[in-house]
Amino acid sequence: MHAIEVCNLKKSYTQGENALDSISFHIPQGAIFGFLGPNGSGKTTTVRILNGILSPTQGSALVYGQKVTANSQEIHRLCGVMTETAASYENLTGWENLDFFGQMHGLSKTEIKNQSEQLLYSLDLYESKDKKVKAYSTGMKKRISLARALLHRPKILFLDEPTSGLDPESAQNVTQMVQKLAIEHGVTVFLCTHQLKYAEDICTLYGFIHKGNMLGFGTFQQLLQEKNSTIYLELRGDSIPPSFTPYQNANKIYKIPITGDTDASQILQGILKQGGQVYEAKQIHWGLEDLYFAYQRGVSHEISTKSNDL
Amino acid sequence: MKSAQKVMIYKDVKEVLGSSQLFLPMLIVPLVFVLILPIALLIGAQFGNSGINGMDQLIKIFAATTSFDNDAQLLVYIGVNYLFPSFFLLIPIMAASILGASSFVGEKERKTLESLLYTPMSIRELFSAKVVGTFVPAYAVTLFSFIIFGIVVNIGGWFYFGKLIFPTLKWLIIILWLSPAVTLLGIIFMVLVSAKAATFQEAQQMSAFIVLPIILLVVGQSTGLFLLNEIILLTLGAMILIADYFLMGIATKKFSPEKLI
Repeated sequence: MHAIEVCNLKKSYTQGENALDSISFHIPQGAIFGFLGPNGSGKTTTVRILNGILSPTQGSALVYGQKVTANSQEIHRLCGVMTETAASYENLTGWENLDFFGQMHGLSKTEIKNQSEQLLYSLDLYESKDKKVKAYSTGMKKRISLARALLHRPKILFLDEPTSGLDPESAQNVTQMVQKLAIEHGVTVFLCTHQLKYAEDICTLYGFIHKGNMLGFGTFQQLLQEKNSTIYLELRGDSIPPSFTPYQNANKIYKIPITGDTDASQILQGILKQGGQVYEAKQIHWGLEDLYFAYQRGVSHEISTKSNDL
Repeated sequence: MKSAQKVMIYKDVKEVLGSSQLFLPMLIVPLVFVLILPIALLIGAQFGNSGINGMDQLIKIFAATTSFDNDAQLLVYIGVNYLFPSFFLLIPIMAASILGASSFVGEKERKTLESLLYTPMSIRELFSAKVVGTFVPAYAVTLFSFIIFGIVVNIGGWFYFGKLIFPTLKWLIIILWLSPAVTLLGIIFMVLVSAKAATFQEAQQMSAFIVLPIILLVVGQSTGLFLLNEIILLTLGAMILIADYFLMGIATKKFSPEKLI
């Protein structure tokens, strides 16, 4: 059974304008799914539908086999949500917020105390637990929201930009916590973010959405294959054989399309045999950013990021 | 009522007590109507008819039909039984609209409503918890004001009449019949407003519409246009309760996540 199954999901707020236009995808348990798209692309609407607080216009969505429209209360027991649009109570302390939401989830006093203490320690908020949330910094507010989302030990965690506004240490801490939840506890993570580098580091599955349409869905490798992404061998050298002149990018710099490691090795050996001098060489692959823009623009994109030194 | 709903009500009350923006107006406005104005009337009554402005018509009516030992008794009688009842109704309206605005529109403005929607509480349970959580403190403020008013008026009553003059049947109808109905009306109005208003201030401005009938009541009383009696109060309360019933049905339908977020 998939943790999340979405089939032809459509949502219209006004006539003729679809916030979601028949999107379909499924996420296995324990995956960290990066849901990537610009503002207004339909990410928040999808999260709200999957949590049963908005009704789809058409199509179906299942969370652990349960229809989100049929039993939203049970869905809320299974899911934890941390989004920019769902905040904590500013006039209550961090501890009071956790206590309140813990009780709303039907946890016992002991469970709330133990879970809250553990989460507050993990998220470096224990010292500030008795301060009102309005006195918290942006990063602290984000972390208390995360603690709130994790309090009832959800099986699916919806996160919206969990690390934006956090200092590097806290961001790393949150990232490690999310990875640990997915790997050790099988929690499925549904991550909405604009930070492509962050998504690339943490996600195991990706979905690209634009104006309510799912442009691409799959693992990084599947998406690369779908776009027929090219790997290049970039080298710097002298006396490179004339057959490589069409690939010359700049003075002494060549960018040669290759099919993989064997191809790269053969090209280099060929150049050396023909008296060429190679000072520097590296393979250039598509990064998530290249892939993202390729899908968003519907075209191939120039390579810029990820590289493996030869 | 489920324990989660009780937790919700407790949280709402705690939030009100923790916010000076909510707490201060709910303290100051009743104090003006049940402490400062009654004391002013009781002191002003010592100086006879000339001491109080704006009650000329009422004084003429009662001076001709009812006998009092002195002008001070007449003024206190008119003030307590005809002028202050309509002033007093502003208290449940004010408390209900401030608390309702905070509980419904304020949650939306502070983005905490969506957090509540992600808890395992149904939208109907959430609605009823919010209505009860707003009604209880709003009515508590009204009851507290009633007690303070009673103490002040009875001190004055003892001074001018030599006996306790409060509460009368009219005041009992106001506190036990009309005030709950008016409080509920104020809350329902705020629920209806919550689908339109984006901020607490906006909702507060809209609440002026619901205060308007009370202002007309005050004007009607002080000009002697009509006089509040027990029958009018009972009828008014029944009419408001019937309106509450129908409006509650509409408000329940309007309180849906689609319209709130």
